[in-house]
Amino acid sequence: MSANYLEHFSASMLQNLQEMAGMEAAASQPTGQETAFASQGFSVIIGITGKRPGRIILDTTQATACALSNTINGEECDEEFVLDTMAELTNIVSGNGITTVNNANPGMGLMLTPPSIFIGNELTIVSPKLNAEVVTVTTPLGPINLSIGFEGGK
Amino acid sequence: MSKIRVLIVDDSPFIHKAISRALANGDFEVCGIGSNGKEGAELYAKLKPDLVTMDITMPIMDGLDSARTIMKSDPSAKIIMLSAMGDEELMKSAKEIGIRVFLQKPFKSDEMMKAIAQVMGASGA
Repeated sequence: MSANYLEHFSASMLQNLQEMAGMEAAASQPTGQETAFASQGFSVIIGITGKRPGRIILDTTQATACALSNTINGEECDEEFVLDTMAELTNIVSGNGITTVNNANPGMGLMLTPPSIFIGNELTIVSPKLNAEVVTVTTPLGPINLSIGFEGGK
Repeated sequence: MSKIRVLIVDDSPFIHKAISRALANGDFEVCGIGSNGKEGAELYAKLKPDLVTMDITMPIMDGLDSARTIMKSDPSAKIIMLSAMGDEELMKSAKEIGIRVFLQKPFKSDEMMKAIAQVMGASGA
């Protein structure tokens, strides 16, 4: 089930990279994810509430996060604005994806929590109660991983 | 001609900047910025803006509860719901509060202008 959902988020990611950054990108096929998610160094996490609780992770390197923020804003961003731009990009990708899922599944009532950001080398995010799928989005600025996990699995 | 005074309620400085950029044609004045729904409702009571742009997903108090509080105290308040989410059930909830204009993120400046024209033209919406 999460793989089916992931297609909506993956499509949202590609569309919003085009709209917000004028950037063409390509997404890999979804693959199953172990409970431990190894970050590239910059992760934005948004919780999903409603009938299928879960979480969304957008993960990339700090360099790609910085370059992408500069492209979206059309100017050099300071560290704080990079964090905010990446949080909002994740919020928009997640919100647009959730909209498609909710409209296709009346009564699901999925909502999002405000984003949290984790930065650091050798960062591992463990979600023991979730079954997750991940796609890698290839962009001119570097790869971005998008992971969607729901409680109760597929 | 006096400027339209706008209150921005959103937890993202990125969106504050995007809205301010969209409103930069001289007809508007951003009179306040709230970073959560509670601040938004308090600033509305204090500033009495002509227009509010309201996010939904925010800490402390979400945008639907904030809009409900504002509409209860001022049923003629003009609010644009501005969110990355835009599903039918959410829009139904917003309509029940009295919100008539909904703009999905990301938005372009002309889409913001259309939304403003729509909400400012809707008498007591």
